[in-house]
Order: sequence, then C-alpha cells, then structure tokens
Amino acid sequence: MFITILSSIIWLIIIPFGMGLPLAKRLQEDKMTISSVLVCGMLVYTSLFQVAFVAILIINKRFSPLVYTFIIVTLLISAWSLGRNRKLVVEIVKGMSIPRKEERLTWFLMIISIGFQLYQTAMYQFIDGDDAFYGATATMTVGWDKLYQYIPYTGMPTGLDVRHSFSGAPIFVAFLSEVVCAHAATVHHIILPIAIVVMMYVIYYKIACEFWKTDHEKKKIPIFVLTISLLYLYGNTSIYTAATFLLTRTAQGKSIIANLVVPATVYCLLRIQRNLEEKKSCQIEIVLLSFCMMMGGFCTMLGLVLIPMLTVVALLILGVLYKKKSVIIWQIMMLVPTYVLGLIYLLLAK
Amino acid sequence: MDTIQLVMQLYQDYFGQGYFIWLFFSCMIYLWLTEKEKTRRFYLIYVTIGMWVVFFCPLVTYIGVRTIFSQETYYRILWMLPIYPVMAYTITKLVTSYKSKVKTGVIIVGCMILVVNGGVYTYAHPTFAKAENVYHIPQVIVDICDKIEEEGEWVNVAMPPEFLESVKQYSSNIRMVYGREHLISHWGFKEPLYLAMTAEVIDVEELTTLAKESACQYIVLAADRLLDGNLKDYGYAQMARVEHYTIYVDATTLE
Repeated sequence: MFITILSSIIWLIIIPFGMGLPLAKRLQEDKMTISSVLVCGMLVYTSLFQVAFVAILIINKRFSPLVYTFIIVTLLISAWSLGRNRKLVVEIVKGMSIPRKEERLTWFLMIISIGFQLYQTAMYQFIDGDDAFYGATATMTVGWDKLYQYIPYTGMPTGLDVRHSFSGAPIFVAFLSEVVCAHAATVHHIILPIAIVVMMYVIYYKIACEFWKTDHEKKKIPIFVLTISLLYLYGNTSIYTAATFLLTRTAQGKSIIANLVVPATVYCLLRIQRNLEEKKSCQIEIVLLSFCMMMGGFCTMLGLVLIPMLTVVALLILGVLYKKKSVIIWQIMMLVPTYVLGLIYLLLAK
Repeated sequence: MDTIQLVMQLYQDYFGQGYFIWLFFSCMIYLWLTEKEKTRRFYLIYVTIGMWVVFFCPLVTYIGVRTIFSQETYYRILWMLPIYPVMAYTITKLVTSYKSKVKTGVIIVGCMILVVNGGVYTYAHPTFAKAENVYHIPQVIVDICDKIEEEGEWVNVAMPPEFLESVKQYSSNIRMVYGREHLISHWGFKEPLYLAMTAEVIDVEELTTLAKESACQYIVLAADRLLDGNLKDYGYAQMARVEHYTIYVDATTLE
C-alpha cells in the first residue's frame, strides 16, 4: 500500500512535473505555478507514451520493452529537467501562497466538493460495460506481456484490431500497474481516476486564471472552479455528458478526451487568443496544441477528429478576429506529428 | 431518420433530463448581451456558436455519421461545447456582481436551486455501490476466479452473463468461451454455449456437450438456475460453492 502510494506520487506527479518544466517555463507567465507545469507535463507525458507505444507496437508487439524504454526515457528526461531547473523548482515551491482571507471560504468549499468526488471515486464502484474493454485490455497486457494480441472480452488470441489498437490509454494503465505495483484493475478504477479528476480541476483552474487576470478579479477563480465541480456533481442528466463520463467511466479513453484533452486544448486556445491580443508569439501554445492532438489519439482514434474539429473552429474564429491568415498553417503544423504517427501505424502495424 | 431530425434528437438526448439545456441557452443569451471582455467572449460565445454550427450542419452530420462517427457516437462533438464553463462563468459573474451581501446571498441560493433542481445527482445512479475490494469488481467474481485460476496457464470457463463484464478485468489467465459482446443485442453474437447457459431451463446434456466441444474446464452456474439433469452425469463434478454460485469442473481434468 505504502509503496503503491509513493510510486503513484512519483509516476503521476513528480515525473510529469519534471517533464513539463521545459515547456512551462517558456509560457512566459507572470508567475510560474505548479498547475502550469502539471498541465504541460500531462501533455508531454501522455504524448511521449503514445509515440513509444506505437513504435513498440510496430516493432514487436510486446509490453515489457515498452515498460523498460518508457521508464528509462521518462526518468532521464525528468532527472535532467529537474536538475537543470532546480532553482526554478525552488522558486515555484516558495511562490506557493495561502489564499487571501476573503477567498478562503470558497477555496475550502471547492476542496470539499472535489475531495468528495475523490472519495466517491476511491470508495464506490460503478460497473460499466466498456470497462470490459479498457480494464481487461490492461489486465491482459500485464498478464501476457503482449500488446493488443487478445480479445479483451474473452482472452482468445486475435490479430491486431487496427481501429482500437492505436489508443495507448489502456496500455498506459498496464504500464502504471507495473510501476506502481498494483493490479491493473486497481489502477483503472482507483489510482488513475483520482489523478484524472484532480487534473481536470487543475486545468479548469488554469482556464479560470485566463478569464480573470487582474488581482482584484482573482477571487472569482475558486468560485468558478467550485461551480464547475457542482455542475459535474449534478451533471448526470444523460449517459452522454462529460460529467457522467468523468464520475462513472473516469479512466476510459472517451472520458479522458472529454474531461482532460478538451479543457487542455481550450486552455491553449485561450492563451493563443491572449497572445494575439498582446501581439506576442504563439509558438509554445502551438507546440502544446500538437501535444493535445497526440493525447487525443492516445485516448481514442476518434480523438484524431474531435480535437482538430475544436481547434479548426477556434483558430478560424481567431483568424477572422485578428485578421491572421497564418492560423491555417498553425493548424496544419499541430496536426502533422499525430497524423504522421497515425499514418505510420496504419501502414506498418498490421 | 432525416438528418436534421437526427441531430435534434441527439442534442436533446445529450442534455437528457432536467433543464440544463435551457439553463445553458439562457446563460448564452445573457453572456451575449453582457460580456464584453475579448478572451471570455471568444471562448464562451464564439466557440460555442462555432461548435453549434458544426454539430447542426447537415453536411457534417451526413458525412460524419457515414464515415468517422456513427449515429451512436456523433453526440461526442457536443463534448467540445463549453456547457459547464458557460454556466459556471455566468453563475460566477452573477454571484460577484453585487456588493450587497443580501443580494449576493439570494443569488447564491437561487443558483444552487437551479443547479440542484435542473441537474441529476451523479452518485444517485443505482449502479453505484460501495466498493467490495481494491479492484472495484464484485468480491464473488474475485473469489471464483481465485479458485479456478492456474498461474501461467489458460483455463477455459463458461460464466453466467452477470459476470461477463468483470471477469477479464481481474483475471488474465481465464479464457471466456463467450464474452461481453453477447450482452449487446445489436452486435448479433449468438454463441450456442451462451444460449444454452442463459436458457430458462438449462438443458444439461446440451450445455455439457457444447462445453466439452469448447474445451471448457469449468462451468459456473447460479444456484437458483433450473437444470433438467445433473452435470455430474455428463462429466462435470461440483468443485466448490462461492456464495450462491456453484463451480463445476470437467472431471477428466482432475484425473
């Protein structure tokens, strides 16, 4: 139990934090915060996993080479990044402040609301049919050291199912199961869901920070996040809503798209809008958006269409608002890495 | 179904019960009229309208449901619609726009009533149950799997339908002779052994014959199932009982 908690902190907080530092420090924020680093880290971490997963899937379809490769690569990058930016890390930690007196009650209520959702996630089970795919794929991967070589519903051997096998999300659960020393079902139903719920609110917090920049407006940030958390609590109006997916089918790829990748994409788009307004460069945001695309593919094949759909609409609006034709080139640039990977996969994975 | 009718139906189905559909729409109109700040206007208003246009565009629907999406997955475009941010932003704006504590209090209470009444509490869903173990899988399934699993070896098992979604999440060594795909009627799976297992009265001779054909070492049956015979007479001995389930094992594998 202690080892699982400790290694979960390492593999779901410290390593993504280390991986996010190089990008986050280029975001040119007034004050760098843990939340910015974690958002960048999540995007880099999952995107890198997707690339490693597709590469190994093409080469030999075995799980253990993926585990070893990814452990070595992530440890090296994180150690290098944390070592190189140690002064910055100290600054970030020192810069953490207690909320102002008038904000404390809202922060407290927000933490209670999110904490309640985390408690429910850990202590209550929800049987969903699609977990028979996601959870079982992870369990089979750990058990038989093969990538997508068995039908998850039965365990019978099969060839590669090209449509579903591009998604690295269930294999990521298997990877976490190995590194945090817990059964894949525990990772799928407890450990990863807790990380996803927390991360979603961190991203909404960042979105709120983009809405309210000035000092006297900042008290609105916790109110916004608290309201979002309440809307999620009461968002089970149908089986299709993002809220239903977050709180019932948390670690499924579809839920990660709706609740992590879409808000992360929006965060990048809001930053692009502000940079255009202030006539600043948008390079880092475009890089981050290309990671969002990759994370979309990591979740589900449909992510390769959904996230570009959002960015096309938003960038076209920005192009019109700011009379910027280069948004078309940005859109193409951010699609290239994921689509090239997808194409290589389609050509070689069989 | 006509394309326009289809998207209208999908939109209504997405919002489902309660009145979030109208709350969201009202918030949009309010923001359209009152919000002037560029960043918020860009995301909360323009992007919303843009995604509405995409979702309701008959050409996108027509091509989408025939190529990338299906009728069952087209609704996922609505995940791109900032429904919760729009509502949360509007509530935040209303709550913080008055200096009077009384007015603010009234708005907070009003908004709470709107959210609680207009939505559906997620954890009230009947499928939520206190977790029985760290796997979030019913304990009876874990116990049965532990009894029949052999380390590093495949075992073929016929399980009752209520177990099909969970067994493979727990055990990598158990091979189900039919799986969860049989629970989804429109996928059209009809494995004879599954049909034999789910018949109102189980024909034991047919069940055991089919099980042997599938090299099935174990059969798990609920104790209250009606059987027209005894499995022992057809080569399956009772191995164990876990709660109200009986595990039968192919007697030839015991020799």
